[in-house]
Amino acid sequence: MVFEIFSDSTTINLFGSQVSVTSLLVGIIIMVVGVVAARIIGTLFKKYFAANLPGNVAANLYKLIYYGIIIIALLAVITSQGIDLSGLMVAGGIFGIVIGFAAQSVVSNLFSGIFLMFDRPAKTGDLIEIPQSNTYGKLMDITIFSTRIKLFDGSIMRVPNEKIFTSEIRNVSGSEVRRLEVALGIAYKEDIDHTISVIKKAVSKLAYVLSEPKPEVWTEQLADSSINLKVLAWIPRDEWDNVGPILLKEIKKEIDEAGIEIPFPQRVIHYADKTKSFEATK
Amino acid sequence: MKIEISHNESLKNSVFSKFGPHHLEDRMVLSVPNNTITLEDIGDGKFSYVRNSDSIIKKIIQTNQTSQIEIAPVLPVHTPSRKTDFFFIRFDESLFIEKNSTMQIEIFIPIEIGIFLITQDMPSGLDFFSCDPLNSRFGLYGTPEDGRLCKYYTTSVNENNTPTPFMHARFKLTIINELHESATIGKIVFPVTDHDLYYHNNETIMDGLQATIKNRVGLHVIETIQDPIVKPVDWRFAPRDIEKTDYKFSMEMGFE
Repeated sequence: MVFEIFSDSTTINLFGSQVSVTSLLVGIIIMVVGVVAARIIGTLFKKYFAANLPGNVAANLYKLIYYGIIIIALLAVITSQGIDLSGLMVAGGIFGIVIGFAAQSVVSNLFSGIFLMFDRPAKTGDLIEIPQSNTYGKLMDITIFSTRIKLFDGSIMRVPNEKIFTSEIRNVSGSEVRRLEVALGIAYKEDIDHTISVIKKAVSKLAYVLSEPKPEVWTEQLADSSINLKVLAWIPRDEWDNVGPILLKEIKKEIDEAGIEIPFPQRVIHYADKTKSFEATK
Repeated sequence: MKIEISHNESLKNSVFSKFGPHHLEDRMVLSVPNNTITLEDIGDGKFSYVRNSDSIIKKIIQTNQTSQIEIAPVLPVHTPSRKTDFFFIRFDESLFIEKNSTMQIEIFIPIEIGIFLITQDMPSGLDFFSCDPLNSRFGLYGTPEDGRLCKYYTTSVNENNTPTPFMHARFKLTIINELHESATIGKIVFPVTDHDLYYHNNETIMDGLQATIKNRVGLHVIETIQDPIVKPVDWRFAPRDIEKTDYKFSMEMGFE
C-alpha cells in the first residue's frame, strides 16, 4: 500500500529531531484539515453571524477565528512531530521580553481595538469628532490596530486605536437631528425683542431648519460693545453643509434689511480736565 | 392655514395645467403655481425637460410613440430632500376628546407635485417639487436623543376655506379615545407612506387615518392606522414613486 512505501525507518532531520516521513505526512494532513476547517468555520460565521454584527466587528472577528484555528492546527502539527520546543521556549522567553517592549504600542492598539469593538462609540458611516486631535470626519472602519476616518477634504486619516480608545469622541450621528449654534452682537440702542423676531424670521426661511423644536434666540451677554445673542436651530443631522455655512449670512442679510446695527468693538475715552487741576495747584 | 391670503388670491386668478396624463407635443408648456415646465422635442425621440421655479431644473428624456407626461399629486416627503416616511401634523388649536368618544375631522394636508413619464402604462418619476416650498418643513417627534424626524405642517381644524389646488389634499382624521378619561391632542404623527392619493381635476384627497388613544401599561399612546378610502367614481389613483409601506406605529412620546 501507499503507506508501506514509507517505512518507519525512513526519517528526516527537522529542527535537530529525527522525524519519520509518515509522521510528516500526518502533520501535513493535520495542517490541511486545519486550513479547510478554518475556511469552513469562517464561511459559516460570515453567512450566519456576520450579518447581525457591525461590519468592522464582523471582519475582525472573522480574522480572529480564521487565524486562531490556523495557529491551533500549527501547534498540533508541531506536537505530532514530537519536536522539542523547550530550546525555542527559552530563547522565545528572552525574545518575548525584547519584543514585548518593542511592540508595546502594537499590543496596546490591538487591545484597544478589541475593546472598541465591544464599546462601539460609533459605527461605520457616522460623523465623529476627536477634539483632542482636532479630527472631524466620517468613520470608515475600525480594524484590529487602527481606525480610519475620512476627512472632509477627501483625505483619509489613520488613527491608532489606543488614541481613539483614550480620547473623547463626539459622535454627531447619534440622533436624527443636531443643533447649530451661532452668536452675534447687536448695538445697545437696538430693541432686543424686535431683533429676536427678525432673526427667527431669517432662520425659519431655511428649509432644513426644523419647525419643531422651534429655533431659539437667547440674550447671552451684555458685553463691552454689544448685546450678544445666541441663535440655536435644529436641523436634520446630515444637513450641516446646507445650513451651517449660510446661517449667519442669512441672519446678517435680514438684520441689515431691518436696519439693525452690528457694532464693532469701541471704547469711549474721557480726557481729564487739565486746566482745572493746573489752577488748583497754583 | 399658513398660506397667505394674497397668495391664494393670485392662485385663483391664474390658469394652471390639469392633473392627469398629457400627450407629448413638439413643444408643450405646463404650468403649476410658482413653476413652469417646458418640454421640447430635440429629435430622435428625445425631449428636453426644463422646470423654472426659484432655480432651473433641466433634464433630457427618452420617449417613444406611446409616452405621455402625467402631472399628479405625490406624498409630501420629497422636498427639500427625502429623509423620512413620517408626517407630523401640529394643530394650531388642541383637540379635546371626552372619554370613550370619537371625533371625526377633515383637515388639509400638504401635497407635492410629481411629474411622471408614462411609457406603456408604467409611470416613472421624473421630477418632484413643492408649489409651496416655504411650508415644506421638517419637525422632530420626541426628544433630540431618540426622536423621529418627520415632515411637518401646522394645520387648523377650525377652517372653512377650500384646499388650495396643487398644495393641499383633503384628509379625514378619526380620533377614538378608548381611555376612561378625557384627552387633549395637539399633534398627530403617522407614516404617510402608508397612504395613497387620488385626484380629480385639480382636487386631491388622501387616505384617511384612524388614531386610537389607548392605555398601554399605564402609558397613554396613540395607535395610528391607515383608513383607506374607496376611490370615488371619476377620480384617479395618483401614481407613486415610493413603495407603499405598512408600518405598525404608535405615538409613544406624547401627543399634547
